Amino acid sequence: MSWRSIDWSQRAEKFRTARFKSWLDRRVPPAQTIRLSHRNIFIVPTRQGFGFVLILLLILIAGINYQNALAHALAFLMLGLFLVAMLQTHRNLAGLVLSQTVPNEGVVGQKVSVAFQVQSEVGRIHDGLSFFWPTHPVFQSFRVDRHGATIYRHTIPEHRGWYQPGRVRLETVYPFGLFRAWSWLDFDSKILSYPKPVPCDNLLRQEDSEPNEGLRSSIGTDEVKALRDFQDGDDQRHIHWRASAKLDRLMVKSYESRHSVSQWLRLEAMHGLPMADRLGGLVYLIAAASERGDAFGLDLKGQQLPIASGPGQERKALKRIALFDWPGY
Amino acid sequence: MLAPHGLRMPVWMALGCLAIGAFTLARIQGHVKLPSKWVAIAAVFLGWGLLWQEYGSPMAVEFWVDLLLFMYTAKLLELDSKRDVSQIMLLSFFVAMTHFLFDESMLQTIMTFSGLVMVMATLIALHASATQAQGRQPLKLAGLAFLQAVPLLVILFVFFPRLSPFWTIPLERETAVTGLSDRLMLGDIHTLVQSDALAFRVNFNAQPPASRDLYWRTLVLSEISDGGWAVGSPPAPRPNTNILIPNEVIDYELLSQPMRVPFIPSLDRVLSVEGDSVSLDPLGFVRSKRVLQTVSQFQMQSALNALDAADLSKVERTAYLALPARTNPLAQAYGAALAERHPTLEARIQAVLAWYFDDFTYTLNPGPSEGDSIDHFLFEAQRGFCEHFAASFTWVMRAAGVPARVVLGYQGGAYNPSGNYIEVRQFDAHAWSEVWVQGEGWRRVDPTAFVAPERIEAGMGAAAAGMDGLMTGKAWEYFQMQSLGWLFGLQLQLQALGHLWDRIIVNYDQAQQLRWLTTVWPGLELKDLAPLALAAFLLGLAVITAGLVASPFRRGLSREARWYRGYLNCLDGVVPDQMSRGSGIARCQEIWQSARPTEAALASDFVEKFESLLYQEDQSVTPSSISKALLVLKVKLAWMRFTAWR
Repeated sequence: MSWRSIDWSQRAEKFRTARFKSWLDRRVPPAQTIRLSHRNIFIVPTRQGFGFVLILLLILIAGINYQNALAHALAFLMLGLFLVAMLQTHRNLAGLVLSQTVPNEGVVGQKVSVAFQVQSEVGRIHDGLSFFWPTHPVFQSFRVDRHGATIYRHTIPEHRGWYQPGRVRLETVYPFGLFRAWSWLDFDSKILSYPKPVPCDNLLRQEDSEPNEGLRSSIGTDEVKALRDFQDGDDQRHIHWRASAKLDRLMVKSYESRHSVSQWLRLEAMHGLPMADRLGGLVYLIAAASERGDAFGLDLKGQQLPIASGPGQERKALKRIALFDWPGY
Repeated sequence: MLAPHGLRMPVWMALGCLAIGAFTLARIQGHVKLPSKWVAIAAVFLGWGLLWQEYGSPMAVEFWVDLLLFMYTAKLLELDSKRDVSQIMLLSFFVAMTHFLFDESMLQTIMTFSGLVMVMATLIALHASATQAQGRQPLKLAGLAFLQAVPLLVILFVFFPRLSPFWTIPLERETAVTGLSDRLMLGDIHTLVQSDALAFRVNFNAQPPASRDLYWRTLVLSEISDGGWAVGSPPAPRPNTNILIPNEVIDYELLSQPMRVPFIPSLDRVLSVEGDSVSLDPLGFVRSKRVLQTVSQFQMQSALNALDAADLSKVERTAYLALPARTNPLAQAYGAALAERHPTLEARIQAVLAWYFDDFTYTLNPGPSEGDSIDHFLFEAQRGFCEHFAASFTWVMRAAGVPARVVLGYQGGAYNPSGNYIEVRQFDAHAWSEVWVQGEGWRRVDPTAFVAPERIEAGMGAAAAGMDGLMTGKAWEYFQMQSLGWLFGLQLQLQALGHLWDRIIVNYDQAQQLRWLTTVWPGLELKDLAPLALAAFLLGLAVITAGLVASPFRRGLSREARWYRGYLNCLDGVVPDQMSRGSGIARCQEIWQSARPTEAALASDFVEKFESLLYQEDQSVTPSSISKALLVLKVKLAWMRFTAWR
């Protein structure tokens, strides 16, 4: 039988005002490696913890009323346990060292998996930890022993450029669930997020008909490099009629030969569309060109990336698009 | 957690709780599904109804306790989430408290606290990440947490000021307490001596008196009504006329079990008594304001064989001579003849006692009494028990013109060498007479001592042994037990332990608290207690905190490593960037210098000393100066942070 989990306190979000955030930035400054200590651990009784205190007080009152020494003792034991619980819960976080291991990149609106390395500096077993971005809560708890652990959590970039996923929450109610200790961790990490690709084949074809300003302005590609059999979906204008007549079957002029096609991808070419879609379209085209192995150049309102091919070129181009008009670039 | 209540609660409820428990177990194993909400609600209402039927009124504590226990069990029926489990576990603590309302013995405490360890272990298992079977780990951790909490428990228990009750709900016990009642009908004590229930235990400050001198006076019966003796309302002696000539004064501490009457047993003439709501009766007895409901402790001082040189007032004399007319005519006539034959009081007493010694038999099976019970006993049966002797003797004395009264109490008791105390059980219940002797006061006359001296000399056990088969019930089993050598020795030790527990733990109240603490700090007053409790508590907390939080960081680290870590802690606030830190102390100092020049001087002072000791083995730098430099730096940073926060 499995138990429904205890949710984390959503109310915490309410207190996350700008003022609180700036206080938190001073209190728990962003760093690539964070060691948890009394400096950056917050701890407050859970609802169960307050219930525990209430029961404690009731028992104490009963003990006083009935002049019952053992009820007194029980109340004192509970107070002792309550404080020990506080220390134990704090101890469960203290001494953890966390770092974010891999620099990440992603696409707006799609999950990005981020790896975190968790080590115990004090060589203790830390149990019942949960670790998540408040926007994507994950309640599956984990434990860290002497050998440490690697935790994967995903986030979804909300905008293009350097996306900061915000502080990660590390929390625990272990061992007794009477206290919740947590910390908001900022690993000073940025996710380079690319615009979501927008398919734009139709767009491509229209632009193609304009020889000079076209997206796909060919350099020396008018010459037919090869002929191949007609396939459904081929453009009729590309049928090589003379060869077809000779061979008695339909032949098309092939433009898609390797290293022979290179193109300039221009932002201005997609006028009339919102900026997000234009950039998305470029991403789509770059991905498509890369897949074919075509060489391409990028022209973003005059910022030009010379024509080249290969994975390095794709990476450079995508980064330019992601950071196009980005403050600071 | 319910087990200790199992025998006390109504049978149907015990069975119901067992059924719900079994059901929940089956559900955890996956055999059955969670019942619908309506089944649970129906079960709860059924339970309520039955409880109402059982107790009839909502005033008894049992009603509320059983209601709580029932709800506690019924909660299992809707057990679904972690939160439900947590709630049940928290309720367990409250249930644990109810155990102590009914039983404060050591065994009960051990059972309850072990149960709570299990509860805490359950909470640990609940909140751990369930990636693997945890085995005994949660239990071990819970036990550890208990051990860490116990010092705080002890500190608070000793120092926490005991307050007086805010209000009182009478704790009505279902089981009748066995013990003396405030009336004596012939046959009453006879039923009492069948019981081996504990009456009270007494610790003497010095050597306890011999068993034959231990007459625990509890009640004075001075009125005859409905053929029996009753407390009545005897006239109080004139105040300040008692001129006591004490002979031997003893101090003792009496720990009484719950009683049926609001009187506390005491020895001879009580000089003083301390305890919760008790007072000294003008008649020289210890009265409590209400019937004892719990085990209670009293400090007493008594004068043995004291002489009272006062006179009996006319009203008193009349009261102690009063006999109902037209009852027991033979006894009346015998008394009148006695007065005629023997002019002196001593002779009258001796004559009756001699008659008892010659013609009467002490037995636990006196047979039924008929008609005028005193006449029947004196002139027909002549077989009886202490109550028969005391009642008839007092009657005859009054008929002979001697002021007399019946005293109910206990006689003797067993000495427990393991605990150095005297233990009195219900079978030690006894009745005897007191007659007024001018110039001496009330003199104790125990006719039983003349008929069955072994009863008084060696206690009830010896008397019973001489009358094999006459004694039945628990008391008989108890005496059989005594012949079992080592087992009896073990039992004595266990009893001594239980007595110690009752004295020290269960009866730890304000008076005792003050008594204990003043032995350590003479002159301590009640109002000092709260600050003292707080201070002791904080000290304990600090020690535990240091043990739990600080040690893991420090353990096994060299002095140098501790210094270095201290420095890094200081850096946290100034140079948060881990990358710069990696490039060494020198680089950190540079950053520090540029960021906060004021504290950087202190920091570099520490760094210089540290390095010169570590690498240059400079003898002029002592380890203590390094510690001091680090401390100064820490204090400065803390102050800086404090002012920034302000």
